[in-house]
Amino acid sequence: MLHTLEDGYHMAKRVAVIGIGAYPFRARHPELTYNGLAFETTKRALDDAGLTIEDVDSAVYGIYNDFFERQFMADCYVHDHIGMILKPGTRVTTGGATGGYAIRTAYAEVASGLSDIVLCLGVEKSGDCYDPETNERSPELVKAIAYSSDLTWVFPLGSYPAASYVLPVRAHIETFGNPTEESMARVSVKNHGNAIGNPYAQCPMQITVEDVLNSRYISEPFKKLDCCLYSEGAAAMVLASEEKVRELNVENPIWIAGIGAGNDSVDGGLREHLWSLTSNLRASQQCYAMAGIKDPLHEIDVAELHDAFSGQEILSYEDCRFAEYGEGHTLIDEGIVCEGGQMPVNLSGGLIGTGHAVGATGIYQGTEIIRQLRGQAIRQVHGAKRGFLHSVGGPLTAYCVCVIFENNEAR
Amino acid sequence: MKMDNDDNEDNLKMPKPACVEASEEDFFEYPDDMTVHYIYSEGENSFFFKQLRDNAKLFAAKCSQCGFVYFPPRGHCFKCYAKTEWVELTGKGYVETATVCHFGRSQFTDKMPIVIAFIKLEGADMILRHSIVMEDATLEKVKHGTPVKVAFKDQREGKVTDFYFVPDEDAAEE
Repeated sequence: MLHTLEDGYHMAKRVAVIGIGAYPFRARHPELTYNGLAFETTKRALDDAGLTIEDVDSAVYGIYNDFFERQFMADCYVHDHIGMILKPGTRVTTGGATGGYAIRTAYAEVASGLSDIVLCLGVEKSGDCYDPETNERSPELVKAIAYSSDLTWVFPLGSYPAASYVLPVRAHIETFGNPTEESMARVSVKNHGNAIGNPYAQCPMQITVEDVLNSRYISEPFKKLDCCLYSEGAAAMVLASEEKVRELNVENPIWIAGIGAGNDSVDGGLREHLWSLTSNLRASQQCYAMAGIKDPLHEIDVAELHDAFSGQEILSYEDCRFAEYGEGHTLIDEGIVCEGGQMPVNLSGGLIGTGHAVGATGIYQGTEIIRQLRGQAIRQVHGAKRGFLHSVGGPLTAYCVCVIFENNEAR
Repeated sequence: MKMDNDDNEDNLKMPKPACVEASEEDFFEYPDDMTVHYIYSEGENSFFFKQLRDNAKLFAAKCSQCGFVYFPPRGHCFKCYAKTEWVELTGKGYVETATVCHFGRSQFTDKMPIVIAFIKLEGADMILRHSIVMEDATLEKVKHGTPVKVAFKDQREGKVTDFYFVPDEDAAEE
């Protein structure tokens, strides 16, 4: 059932983002523990909101992987380190969609009236993973992620995130004849290029389609430059109720106008078809219905999509209804999703350009949309009023959360 | 390729991450691990794993009410909330879609490339993610519709890796 503004959301309080902060995404931050990353980023978000930790009623933590942090229940240590003792705190962990689901949970706390001001903080290590036999980090990090796959049925096969995300893309290619490797490479070129100038980004690069096509295969047809890299980093938002926004006289609140979520069957076996991520369609439709959006391509000014892999971004254009099924590739081929196009996607660099600090990623993407709607972005879309966030993760991209943010000019 | 990264730190007057300047003496590191051992129970799916290990047979779970066939097997049907019954599979099927993998965790690096596929099995209503073992794998050799059949290891321990799939040459010639 899709809820709309008319049939019940008016019961909820309006919720705005009044502060943001992020810590640069890098392969490693050996100088900071996850508690240190959390503290630095909380401070930045509170400073941005003009608040102190005393003002915060409750916290929602996006922390994905216990092996990454080398700690189960890392949230309770973070809670202590940032000074939230004796206040409520909840951890969210939904794979790559952890950030999106943390925002949804924080939104619900404010909208329901449980809290007036909520800190939504995403933190992730990962680069400490290390295989002493090969002296490598990446394969051990991938092993830490692989423990999220079905331990009985999938883990022993040697599968890993690229090998999962590529299967819907392969099915799409076999069904529609696209996207081609060139179209996917254009997404990689766009996102690596958009990251240039972004101080939070791990992978800003000026590259060509040929560079992408010449990089080695990871999981065919995905090549190295089609894939995001895992990062360490953090991002935070401060959410507040409409009453608090007025009381604090917030100059440029950014409202959460729509939010939707859906989780698909985890291993694909029960899905209607393999060439689409139906949870993405479900989440975006629910989000648009709540925000009253009928034509996303023309009603949204700027979007951050979960581009863990270039081909996945193209499938997302279709499931988020920016394009018809089978036609998503035209948006990148014709430059519609590039800077200056009708619907710029991932002007921050996305995951491919910025990196993927898993629990922090969705929240970081959100901070980028907030900057766009405040007019403070590095690659500013002139007059942007409404932005879209798409957060995806879990075994075979099962989880999806979508959010519509708006500034005061939007309505 | 131009790496354009840390120069930009100053643009937003943001403190540099300490790692950019910190030398290894500035932080303390040590080797560590997290390990837990199990005697893991496969519970309601025990029959499947015993048949796999002892008789090299694949059994699926069929809903006693609607007849939907779950593979991997489940003890109950989530549509009818009814119990399931065991039915044997032929182990024949075809590729829905597949990828050729060249990267993975350390335990798999000497096995690359491997083929991970969605396989539609005869008699099952779910699509199975499993591996196809073949020489010189290419996407063309595992395209949609390619017939495959199950093969079993000689030494079985009751794990998903006791079986795998190979191209079904007989079916391909039909």
